[in-house]
Amino acid sequence: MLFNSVDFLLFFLVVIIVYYSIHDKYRWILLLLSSYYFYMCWKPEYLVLILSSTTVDYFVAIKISEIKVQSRKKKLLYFSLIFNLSLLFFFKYFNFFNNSVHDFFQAFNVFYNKPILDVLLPVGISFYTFQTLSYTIDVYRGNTKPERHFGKFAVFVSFFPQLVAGPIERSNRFIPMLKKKKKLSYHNISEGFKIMLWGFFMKLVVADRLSIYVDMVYNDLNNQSSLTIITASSFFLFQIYCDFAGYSYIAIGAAKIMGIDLMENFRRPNLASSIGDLWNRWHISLSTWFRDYVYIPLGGNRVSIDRFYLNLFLTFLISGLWHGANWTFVLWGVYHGMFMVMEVFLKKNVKISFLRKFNFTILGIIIVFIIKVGSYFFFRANSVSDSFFIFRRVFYDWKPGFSAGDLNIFILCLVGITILTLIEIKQEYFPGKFLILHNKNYYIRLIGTAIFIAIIFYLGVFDGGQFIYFQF
Amino acid sequence: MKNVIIRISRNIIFLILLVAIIDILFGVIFNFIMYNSPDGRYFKSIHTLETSTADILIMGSSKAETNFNPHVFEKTLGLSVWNSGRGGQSIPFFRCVQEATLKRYIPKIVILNLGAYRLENELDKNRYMFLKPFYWSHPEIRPILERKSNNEKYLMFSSLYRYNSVFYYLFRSFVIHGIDGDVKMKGMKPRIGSIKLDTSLNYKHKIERDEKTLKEETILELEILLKKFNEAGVQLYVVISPDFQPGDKTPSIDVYNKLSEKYNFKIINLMNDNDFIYKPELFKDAAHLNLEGANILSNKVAKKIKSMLHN
Repeated sequence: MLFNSVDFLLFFLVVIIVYYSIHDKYRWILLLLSSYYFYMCWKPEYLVLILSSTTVDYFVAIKISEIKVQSRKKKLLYFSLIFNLSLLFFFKYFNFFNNSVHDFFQAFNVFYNKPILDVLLPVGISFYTFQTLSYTIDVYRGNTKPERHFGKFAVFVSFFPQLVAGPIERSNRFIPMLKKKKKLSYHNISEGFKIMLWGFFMKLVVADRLSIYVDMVYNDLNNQSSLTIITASSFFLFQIYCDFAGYSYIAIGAAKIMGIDLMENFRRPNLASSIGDLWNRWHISLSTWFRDYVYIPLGGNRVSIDRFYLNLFLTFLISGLWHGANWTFVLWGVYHGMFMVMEVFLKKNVKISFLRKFNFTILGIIIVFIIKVGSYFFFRANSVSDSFFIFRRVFYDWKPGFSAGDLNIFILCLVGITILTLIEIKQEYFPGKFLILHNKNYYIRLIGTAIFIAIIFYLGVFDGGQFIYFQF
Repeated sequence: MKNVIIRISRNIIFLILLVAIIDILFGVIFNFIMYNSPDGRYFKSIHTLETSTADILIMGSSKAETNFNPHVFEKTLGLSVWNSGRGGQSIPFFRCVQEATLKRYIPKIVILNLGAYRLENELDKNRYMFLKPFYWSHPEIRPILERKSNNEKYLMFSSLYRYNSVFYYLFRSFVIHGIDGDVKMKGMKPRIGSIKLDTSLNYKHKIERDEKTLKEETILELEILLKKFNEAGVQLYVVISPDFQPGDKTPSIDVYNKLSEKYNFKIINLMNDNDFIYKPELFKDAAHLNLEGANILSNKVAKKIKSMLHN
């Protein structure tokens, strides 16, 4: 069941009505049942995976908190890590690993029959696996207490708005909110609705429109000019942002309506003026996850300078692999890791004090934009050879010309990007000004919301486009 | 709690009312603009679905639109002609044209241009949706438009949805006259200029393609189209237009041949016609003839039809 479907809207409406009709203490049951139903709409069998992850981490966390011997605690933590990561490896990475090993041996003329595993990637497995992992690790570290109520813990793992594509929540934020008494609040309903609308705008008006042009170009790379590929990659930058952030906003809005505040996942990443700034704004729940559970355990910046660079690089490499079982994602991680290390190196070693009086924000935004477009040569490409083909065509073998495809679609792509950018510039640099959906005047708010809905209806793409991050 | 529910309900009602007013208002404006198009895509669609009474109806996608000159057919056959071809379209669009036409009148002849690979493609469920503005005025095409999704019949209540994203095509005929084909060309959209050959490529060979499986759903849809014309007593001619390079007989053509007996239509296969292949002066690109090529093809097809009529 996709957020951008009538089925979801009806489902959500029913859940909300029942949610506020029943007593507070029974709401977790409704949330759990609706979350499992939501997930089963994809592939009912895969509910077993969520249930097994939930059960294992529930008991492991309680046991960890009860045991006093550190070595036994560690063993239980490893058990949870191995269990969860094995599921992830089996369903997401086995074929990638299998193919890579096979190709490696083939390169040395060693041939064997490759075992084939024909399984569908369970939707959202990377998200809920990371969510449960963070819980067990936090309990092990003593940062959080184990949840004794199995049902409420199960809701934390499977809460339907953020189940399949985040934000990746932390138990010490989420579970207390779940337990808190919630009254029907006009503010929550109104805010949540507006956040959802913004998410629908990003997904339907911007992301799904851009995908038509981007797919046209990337599925026929050989015949495209260099400028067309650069344009498609720039469009993809906006597409993936709006696709993913759109999902996050719909999730955050839906949860807000139920009185639950999910964490912010995107903060206008296209206005980032440095690589470090970008990762503070992009997929925040995952960036902070990697910071807390990968980068800091590796030693973070409290190590030698070379090790610090290595830690940064490794964190990005793993982040790349998290995104997908393909060498294109690994290279994407390497690419970002390199630029991150480079930026830190320059900041530490190059004296730019005389330049500090100048404002480099705009230049920074442009440079980060260009670096991001380059990263999507890997991320969007269908294969590594496609990625290298793109780099060759853009930097070495320039092919003149430009194809806008269907001009109507191309214009609508530009319209969507322009509206998005103007709104984000306003939010970033003029907060509290030119308010429409949050104007003090009731009628401006009401008419503004109605016009915004009309714009979505008129400019949106309603062909039920999948969310890109579901595949991760 | 009661006050909150009242406040939320009141705002929802106001919001729905406002959205409905905007929706209706824009629907009226877009409808007015569409029905006053001086030419262009929507002018052509209105004429095809609502006013054309031509004896000969040309149907197809971009090849039909550019390769068949109604004036040449009229001169040779002495019958009125309308070219309903539309670039990028496939069988569902032809079905919409068929349903709307047969509801009003029965053309004497239908010339249907079918690609040599048409049945290898999945049945389109999107491109013909530009006909959404005609959903309510043409109940005969509703079932075809509703195929896109289960929610289509509900979404169609919204004018904004019916006119979704079409402003460029809706407005451009007012700004650039004849960009989508001049009214005088009776639906044809001629292409001017000649193919620019890439000197590094060798064109002197047949196009080789990987064999693809035919799509069952597409074949079934074509059968419905052929059956309806047959039942209506329309003389149907299926034309396979030439490309710049010759091609082999395809599985799609085999199916056309099989169906021609079942549904009583004639096939004019000009795929490898020597009057066209390797003649850059007659082509605008590898698949579409220019006006000169289109006139020659139209003349050839018209004469073949004439001889078949006499036989």
